[in-house]
Amino acid sequence: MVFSSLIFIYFFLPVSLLAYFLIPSIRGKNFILLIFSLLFYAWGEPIWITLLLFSSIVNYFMALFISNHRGSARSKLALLVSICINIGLLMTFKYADFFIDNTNWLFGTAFTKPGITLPLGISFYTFLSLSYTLDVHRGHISVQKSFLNFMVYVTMFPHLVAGPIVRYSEIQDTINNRKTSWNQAWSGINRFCLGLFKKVVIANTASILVEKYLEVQFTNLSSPEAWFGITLFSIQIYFDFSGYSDMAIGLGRIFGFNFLENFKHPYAATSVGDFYKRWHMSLGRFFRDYVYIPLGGNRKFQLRNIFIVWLLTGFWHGASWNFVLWGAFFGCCMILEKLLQRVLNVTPRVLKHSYTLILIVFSRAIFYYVDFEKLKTFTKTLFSSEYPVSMNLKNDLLGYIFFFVTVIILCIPWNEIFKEEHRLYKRASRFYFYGAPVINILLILLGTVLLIDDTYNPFIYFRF
Amino acid sequence: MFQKISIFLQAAVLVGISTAFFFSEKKQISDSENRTLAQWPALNDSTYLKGAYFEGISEYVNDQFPERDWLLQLGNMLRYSMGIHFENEIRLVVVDAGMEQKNENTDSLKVSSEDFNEVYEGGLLIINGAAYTTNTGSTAVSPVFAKLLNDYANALPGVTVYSCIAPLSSAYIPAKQYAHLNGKNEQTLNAIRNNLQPGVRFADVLGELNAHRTEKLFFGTDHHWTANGAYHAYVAFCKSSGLQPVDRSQMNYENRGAFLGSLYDLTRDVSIKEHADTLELFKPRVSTESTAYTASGFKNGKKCSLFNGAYGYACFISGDQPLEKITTSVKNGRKACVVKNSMGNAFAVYLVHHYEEIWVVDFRYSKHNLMTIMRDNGINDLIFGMGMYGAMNRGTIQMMRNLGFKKAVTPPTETKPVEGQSATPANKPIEPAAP
Repeated sequence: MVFSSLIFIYFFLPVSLLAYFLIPSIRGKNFILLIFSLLFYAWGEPIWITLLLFSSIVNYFMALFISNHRGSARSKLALLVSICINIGLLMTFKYADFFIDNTNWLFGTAFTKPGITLPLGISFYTFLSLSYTLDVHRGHISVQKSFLNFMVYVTMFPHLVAGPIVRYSEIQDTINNRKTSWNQAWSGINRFCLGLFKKVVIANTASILVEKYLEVQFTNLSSPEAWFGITLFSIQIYFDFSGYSDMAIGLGRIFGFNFLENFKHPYAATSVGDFYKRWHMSLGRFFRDYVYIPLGGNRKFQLRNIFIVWLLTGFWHGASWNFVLWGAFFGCCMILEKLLQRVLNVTPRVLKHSYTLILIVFSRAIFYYVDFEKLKTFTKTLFSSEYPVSMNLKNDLLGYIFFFVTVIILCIPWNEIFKEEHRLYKRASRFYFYGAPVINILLILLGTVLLIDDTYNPFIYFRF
Repeated sequence: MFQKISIFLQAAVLVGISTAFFFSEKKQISDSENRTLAQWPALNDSTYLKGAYFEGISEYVNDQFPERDWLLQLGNMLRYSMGIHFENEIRLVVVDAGMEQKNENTDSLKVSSEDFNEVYEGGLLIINGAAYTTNTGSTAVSPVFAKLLNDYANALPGVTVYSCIAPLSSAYIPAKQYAHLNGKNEQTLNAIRNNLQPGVRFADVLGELNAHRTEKLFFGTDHHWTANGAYHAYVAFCKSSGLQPVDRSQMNYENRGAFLGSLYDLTRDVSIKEHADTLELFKPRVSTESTAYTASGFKNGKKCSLFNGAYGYACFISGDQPLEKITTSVKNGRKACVVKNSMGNAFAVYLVHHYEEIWVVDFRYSKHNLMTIMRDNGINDLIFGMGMYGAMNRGTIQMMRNLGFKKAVTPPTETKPVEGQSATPANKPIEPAAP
């Protein structure tokens, strides 16, 4: 099931909230949350629920074992087993075809690919479980003894299939002791509606244009149209994923949890490094804490560590070489930024912002085209094309002008420009406070109108 | 306090709409979308494990949502309002594959799936509220189609085979930058002409249409041609066969008024809606009787008519029937068989001026044996009269081949012989005469 569907908005969500808030005890609430989370997952992938349960059970018992034998060799062994099982699941169900393909290509063998359909959310819940056992081993968190509570942490439907990758430390205080305040529910609803708007109005509209420029017209694009198309994909992927994260954070708040932010106006970044401090922050935190720092972090082999982290980040996104290339591209960008730090420090902000945007938008092409031939052709088109600019570009710029204005407004970090004590900020906050109910209802109705002929519009990050 | 009230208010709106869903009327067919609507799915182990059951419920909620038609219209209006639009603007609209599939569900289709797969690959151009395909066919497939006609000609000695293929609407896009697509259509059609063996006749439909390119040849809201476009194709056919075309002044003119066709259904584009088509008919002054048969039998033949009261393009020869026999008041002993897709419907009506009997076979739906029909009824002319998308796809060409050469069809058992038809049982399927 996806958040941006009529069945979720009008049936699943009201029924789950009603059941949740009718039960007074926290244990009962957690049980309800678990039942609805499993139903949410089973809606799209009934068969893969077995894998989710297997992964959860293994991690629950491994963490208990690690906690009970803390400091011993057994604890390390259990951690190793847990890591192997989690990574093994990911390798089997996400990367098996990729490895077999490459083995066959490299050695001329003819192994048959298992052709497994990627289980929904496997990359997210595997990393989430992995972070839990690692944190238990490090003693950063105390082990969760209740299986119910652990299952709620792993399977909670707001973050289950596309993150954010919630760390146990973020919710350990609330998992067994929480009460949704009116203020929390209020801000949760507002956040959910904003996310719905981002997904249904912005990302889905951008996707129509993306298909037109990057697929249908692929063979006869002019250079400006190619840039336009890939910029649209940059818009789509940001609003799709940040919209999903907004909805997840909003739902979390309604259920009494406070998930950390996953996006922070990334297109306002002034360097590639800055961009990835603002984009998919939960994944960045995961790689920082469990890969970068253990490798030596800033202390030794920093540039090597950066490159390894980015290769892994790329590979996490999908079983395809284009993602590895994408990771390598950013690894190189980050290393160059480190080397040119002094120059960048004196570069005007507008220039830094421009080069960052150009690199980010260009990198989307590597992300978009899984087929290397297509990627090669498209990259050439970005810089030169035999085709003149068609009327489509002008027509689409004007035909979607209000859409583009909205995109720009939403990409600007107003809260960074106007501080909280600024008069305009206060006015806007006041207006939003009193206008929110009407705005939210309008956003829900707008979403309904645009979703009515769109039964399934999955989020891009569902496939990672 | 304000927060509490507003949360309850928002919850009330949500629950109100959810409740309205249960009390709203559930429909079988969407008239505005011309398709069957999803019903509550059946639950069994297969549908459950594959996720089809839950997916079916999601589709049911979408399809049966209260005031769906109105919301659809509103949605399209909102999408159109995301910017500024000008007269003469050219917009390329990408057709959603999901929408194509949805349209396969109903008998009252204006379009068939294979039409869609071909026509809309590459998107639709919308200019001044009229939609045009950008496709121009395939010169690589044209020889395959030509060979099909050659094989039929060899297998049916004494029968004249005609290629009467209409170009796509891309040939008449009213914008300079797309003017070359007329030439590309021509290349595809010439590749058919150049591969036909002597004796198989080629009707130059494109040439005839080009001579009248300022007229309305294709609908703007529908993927078919107009009765006017079909008339010029008929003239082209007459030129290739040596028949004297009947002038339209000798036919009855009828204006059926405005309609919105398949391309509006598909795109829901506001500008297309604002430029509805007008359905004009030229009705031959020839008495006819028509009978439509099911896909594989001659039982329960249904009386139908050359022009019925159906909406839009579906009025010609009662729409896409697997097999239709038209008997005319022309008593010249000549008989024709038209193998067609939906574009052939508007074309076939003009043939009643020249034949005593016309058999119309829709290759997409018919499982009848074409050879049997040809031989048992003593048919003189076999006319492949269709839109180009039937002739530029290997799949559709194979369907036409199967009609006569490959498929072993159970001979139809007739309870009541249809007038004018031989009672001889169907022959064995005939293998191609030449490899």
